[in-house]
Amino acid sequence: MNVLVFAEQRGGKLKKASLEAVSVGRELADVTGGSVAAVLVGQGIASLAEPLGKTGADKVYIGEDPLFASYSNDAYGLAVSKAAQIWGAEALLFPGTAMGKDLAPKVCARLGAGLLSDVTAFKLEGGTLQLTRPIYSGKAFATLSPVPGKPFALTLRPNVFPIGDKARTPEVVPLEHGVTQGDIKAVVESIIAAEGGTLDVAEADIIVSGGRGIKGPENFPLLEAFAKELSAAVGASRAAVDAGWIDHAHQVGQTGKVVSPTLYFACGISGAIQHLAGMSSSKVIVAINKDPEAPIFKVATYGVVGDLFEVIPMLTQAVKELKSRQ
Amino acid sequence: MGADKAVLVSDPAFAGSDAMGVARLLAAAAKRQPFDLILCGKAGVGDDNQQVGTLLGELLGVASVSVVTGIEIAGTLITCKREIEGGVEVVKAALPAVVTCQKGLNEPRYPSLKGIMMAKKKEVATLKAGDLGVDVGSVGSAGAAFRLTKLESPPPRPAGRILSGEVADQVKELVRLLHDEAKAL
Repeated sequence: MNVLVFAEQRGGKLKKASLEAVSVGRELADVTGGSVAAVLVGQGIASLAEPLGKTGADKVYIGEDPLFASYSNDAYGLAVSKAAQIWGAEALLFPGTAMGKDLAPKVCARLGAGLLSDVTAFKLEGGTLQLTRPIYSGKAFATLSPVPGKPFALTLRPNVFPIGDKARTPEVVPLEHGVTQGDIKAVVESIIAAEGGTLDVAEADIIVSGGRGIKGPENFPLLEAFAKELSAAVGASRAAVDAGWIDHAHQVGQTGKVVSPTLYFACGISGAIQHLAGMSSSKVIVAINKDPEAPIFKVATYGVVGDLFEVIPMLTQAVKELKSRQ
Repeated sequence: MGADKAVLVSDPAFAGSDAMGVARLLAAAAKRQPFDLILCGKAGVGDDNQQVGTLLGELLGVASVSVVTGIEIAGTLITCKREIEGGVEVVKAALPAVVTCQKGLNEPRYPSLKGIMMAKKKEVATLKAGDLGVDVGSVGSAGAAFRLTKLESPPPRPAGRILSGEVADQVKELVRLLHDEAKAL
């Protein structure tokens, strides 16, 4: 199966989720027999071909044009569709990022390809590809197989798949994209960066989240100090966001962001199903809650039963000491 | 809530439609009247695909902007705020457009008693496959691009370790476990 991977970059930097997608592409091509091409779209991006090769891309299409300087799902969609046609892609992979999830339907509508969102696992069974994704807020896992004879596309949940090391020197070719200014109906005019350039929960390896138990906006600095010690992002439950204690960009859960960090601290979060939907695929979950009956303890790897206002400062200090010994 | 008219797109042939099937049906229904702006939710609760709105825009040949938390319209231009990792994108698009709405865009109003009474008098037309002129092979389960092979409960997370005792001891033990056992620190 010939696989095409959309490799997202922003400001000339590859997204980690792009490397994860190329690694999945390599595995898919290897088990089904085929090759992997990656497509880069942007400006000043030629140097990004090498890391894509190191992760397993046989070929890299470089779509370089002033038209691609700002993200437009019209322009990027046409460029990726063109690459898919040139490569003869049977499967297309997109990182499940804000850009990947916006772009994939544009490309699929154009190519007439089916699209499966938020895939977290795949395997080949008797020659058929079985793809798994969480549904009903993570309460069930659905496994689906593509209808044969049609191209299909997947968005892959970030931070779930490991980055591979089946390195090669990729063939690098410019993409004859044929996109013109007239094709662009919507384009990004500017990007407003989050205050203080804080790490986003969707991209963080460690997340420290606060819920109703935080009691007020004045107490979030307690979590921020702990997060800083861990180089972690600060998250929040819906209760804390709806109360106006912290911006919605920090919300983890069904109406916020879905995250899969290595380590997730749930501080003063009871663990409503809508919150679990956003974080239950975290590798290690630490729950800190006064109430030993809180449902969050059911998904926790480790639980601390206690007042977070007592626990967090001690934990911050303990982590600081641990880091200073390392 | 304030809608002047409603249309129900419904036919047994539409059952089992995937996101693309739903988008094809909505596109066929949308083409029956002029429009400047189509608003959709960010994702359906349940399948959580986050596809239909953007597919719809592309099928109709108009701009699409997804996961929007702010809208301003000036003449034939719409400016949207869109959540991305670590910030917000400001997207400018030409109308007509399809926008998918994310929490934070506005505060839904409560239906008033007057509105509820008036809604009872409003006509809700039903559009079937024949009315829309869609190829029924391209929608419903016949048109779906993937077949469900298994639906199961998520594998249970291995039972966690809930610590007890003095808070200071719990914290010490937690850091030790995170470092030595989970290797997460």
